[in-house]
Amino acid sequence: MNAIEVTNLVKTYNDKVAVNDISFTVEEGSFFAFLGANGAGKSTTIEILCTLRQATTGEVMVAGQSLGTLKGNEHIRRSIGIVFQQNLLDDYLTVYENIRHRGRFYQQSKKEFEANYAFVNHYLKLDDIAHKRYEKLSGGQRRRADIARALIHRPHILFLDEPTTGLDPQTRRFVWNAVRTLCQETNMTIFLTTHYMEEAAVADKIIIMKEGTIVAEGSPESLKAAYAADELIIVLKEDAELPAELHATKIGERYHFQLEDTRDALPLLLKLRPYIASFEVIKGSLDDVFIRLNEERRV
Amino acid sequence: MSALANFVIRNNKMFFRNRMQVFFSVLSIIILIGLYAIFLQKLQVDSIAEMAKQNAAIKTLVNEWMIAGVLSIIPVTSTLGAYSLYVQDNERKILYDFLTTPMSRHTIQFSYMLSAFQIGLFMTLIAFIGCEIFLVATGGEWLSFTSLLKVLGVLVLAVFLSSVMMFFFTLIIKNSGTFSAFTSIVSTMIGFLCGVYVPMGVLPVFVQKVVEIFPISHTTVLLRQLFMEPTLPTVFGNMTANKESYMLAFGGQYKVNGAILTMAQSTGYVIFAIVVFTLISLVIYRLKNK
Repeated sequence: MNAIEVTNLVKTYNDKVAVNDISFTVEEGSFFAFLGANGAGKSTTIEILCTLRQATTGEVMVAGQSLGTLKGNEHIRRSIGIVFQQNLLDDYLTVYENIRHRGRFYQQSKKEFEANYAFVNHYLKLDDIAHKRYEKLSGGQRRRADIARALIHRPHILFLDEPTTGLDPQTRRFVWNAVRTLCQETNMTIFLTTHYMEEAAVADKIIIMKEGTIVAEGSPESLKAAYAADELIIVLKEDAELPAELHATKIGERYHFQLEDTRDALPLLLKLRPYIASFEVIKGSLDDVFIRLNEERRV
Repeated sequence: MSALANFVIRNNKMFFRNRMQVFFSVLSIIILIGLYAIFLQKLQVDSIAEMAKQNAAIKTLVNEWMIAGVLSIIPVTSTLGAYSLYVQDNERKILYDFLTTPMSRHTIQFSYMLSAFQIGLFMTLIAFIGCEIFLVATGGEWLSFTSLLKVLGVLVLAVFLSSVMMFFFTLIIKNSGTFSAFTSIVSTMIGFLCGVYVPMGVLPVFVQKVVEIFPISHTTVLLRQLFMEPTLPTVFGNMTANKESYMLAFGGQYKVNGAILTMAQSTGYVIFAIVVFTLISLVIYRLKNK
């Protein structure tokens, strides 16, 4: 079953097309990554999915409900949690107050709220910050509070809009561990946008947007296989020369060999062994996929 | 607890925990009264002395005139202060967080209005208590029970009107910088538009007409009539013509098409303005948050 179904979605602002006829599905309980450079149309798409904007044309189903009707939108809002790019809690309230006020927007009784608070506290370890004002928190602590707020009504789908931008590596790791554990234990669907490709590398499915359209779609492995080449990089010994039959790109002192697969480096290395001072085998990454797809269009 | 009540509590907490904002709201009232007492009071006393029996009650009358004016502009400045939260929520996109909850758009809008009303009423009542103490301390008398109820009724109406009117303007402002400039302009202009800083009579006829149309100035008129009611006979005695001239010149009464507006007519006009601005705000909010 699909948590999200988007069919021929178009969004225009006056004459400008922000989202141009895109279609995709997100499977329930999956980890979905939605990538694209700034201005690619990701934010507009997410805002439509989260009921913040109306689509110009196209059909959108979120959590089994059609977007656009009053009842449908209300059901969707109960089913989704959003961690926005910006910190959106109230500076003058404590973390607990912030989460309690937000929880009550979902008409939770005191008992329900306390149970849900215990649930989010289990994953996000809020005890040390619960009674501190939000304005007094560090960036990482704020993020924990933001995620707790997004989860306080136990949503089926969690939207994470660049959730780790500006965070230190330790906090990023904490956030991802919490999200992954949650995803595994609750079958929650995760919809992620990020500029950190390594975060998207663990997704079940990735979509890459460019100028309002989908330019690539698939699992991280399939995208890497299609768009990112593995590489062998060598530095030659002093006075050594590369055999004429071998073709490589020279960048500075380094020779780059494009590979189909990292295993193809083995025969090459054996052949080059007498000439090599040092070498490095690099696996094609999602960064390469992203850069290549964006460059292709630019060219 | 309903989502609306919960949201209003959140808004009120956000306002009152911003200590500097509350401090400056109170300070602006104190500065206004201080400026009046230092610079304007004597001018007015002298001017009334020319058209009334010279007696000690003139100063009380002038104080009542000023207090009524101050109390009619506090609802405007305090509700405007409360609405700064809406502008900040909108600017920082905190509103997005609310718009993605099951609360209806109308509940969100209404919560800001209700919160501005509560904050405005609280600040106005505090100011009213302070002003009553000031009046009694400077030789005036406590309001009678009936007058007290009427004054409270007018203050509630004034705060209600300011809440809907200021929300209308708040909806069309997108950022804190613009809102801050707008607040400065309103705070400066409101005193003139309600005939608080200078008597109506000294303004050009065209400006007088604008003031008469301005709905909030009708709450000033109502409050002046209520506050000055017991002192007017003491100052003017049986000089009815002088009393009427004074009330018209100093914005204690409005004359429209040759007839003096009654308190009921001014009250009706205020209620009419409340309905109109509520409807306009609803339409704008709906258009902005489809």
